[in-house]
Amino acid sequence: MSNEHGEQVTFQETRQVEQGDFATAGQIAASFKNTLKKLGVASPVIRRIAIASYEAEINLAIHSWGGTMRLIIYPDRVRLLVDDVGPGIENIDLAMQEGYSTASEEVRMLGFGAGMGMPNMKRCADAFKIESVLGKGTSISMDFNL
Amino acid sequence: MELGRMAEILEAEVICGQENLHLDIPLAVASDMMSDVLVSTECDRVLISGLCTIHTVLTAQILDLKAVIFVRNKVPTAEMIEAARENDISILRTGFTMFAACGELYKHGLRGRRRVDEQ
Repeated sequence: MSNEHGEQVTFQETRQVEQGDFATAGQIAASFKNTLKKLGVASPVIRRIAIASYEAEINLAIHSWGGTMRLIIYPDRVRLLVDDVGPGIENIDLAMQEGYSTASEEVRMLGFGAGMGMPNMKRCADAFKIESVLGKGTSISMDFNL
Repeated sequence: MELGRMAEILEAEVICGQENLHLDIPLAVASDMMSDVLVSTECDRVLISGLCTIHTVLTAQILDLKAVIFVRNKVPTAEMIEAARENDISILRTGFTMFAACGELYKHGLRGRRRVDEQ
C-alpha cells in the first residue's frame, strides 16, 4: 500500500465523527490507540497520538457539523488528519492560546472546554498544520515521528 | 505511594480494580477539566477528580493511568465501571472534597507536577 507520493503506507483507517456525538467521543481515539499498540509502536508515542486524537475527536463533536479522522501509519511516522465541515475558526492564533475556549456551558459540565484542546494537540505532535475557512470547515494535519 | 495507602488516607471505597492496590503510584494530578489533565503525557499518576463522567475514565485510558479517585462522594455509573475494568483501571470513591483529598495526600508525601511549565 502506498500514498499519492509513492510512500509506503503500513496501515490506514478513516473514521467518521458525527456532530454533537459527545457521549461517545473518545472511542475513535481509544481504537487508534489499540491499533498502534498492536502494531508495536512505543508507548510514549502512542500516548501522544492518543491525546491528540482524543482532543481532536472532542473538538469535532463539540464544534463541527461532522468530520473525519484519518490515521495513516508510515514506516517512519504516524500522520493524523482531522477534517471537518463546520463553522471554521475565526481566529486561529486565539484558538491556539491556552485557556481560550468557545465551548458551551454544557460541554464544560462534561469536563471539556478548558481551552487546552488545540494547544495540547500541537504540543503532542512533532509537526502541526491547521487550515480553516469560515463557514466551510477546518483541517488539521499532525505528524508523529516513530 | 501505594494506591491502597491512598485509599486508607481518604477512607475511600474501592469500586473496582482491587488488584492495583499494591501499585506504587508516585504522582498525582487533580482536575475537573480533562484537557488540563491531558496536558501531560506522564502515565505514573493517579487522577483525582470531581468530574464523574465516562470522559474521566476515557482520559485515564488514553493516558495509561492505573487509578481514578472520585472526590465529593461522586458515584460512577455502571458504564464507567465496566470501561475501567476492561482497561485495568481502579476506581476509588471518597467523601473528601477535592481540596481536602489533595491536601491529605500531599501531607502524606504524594506529589504532583508543581508548575505546568515544569519538565
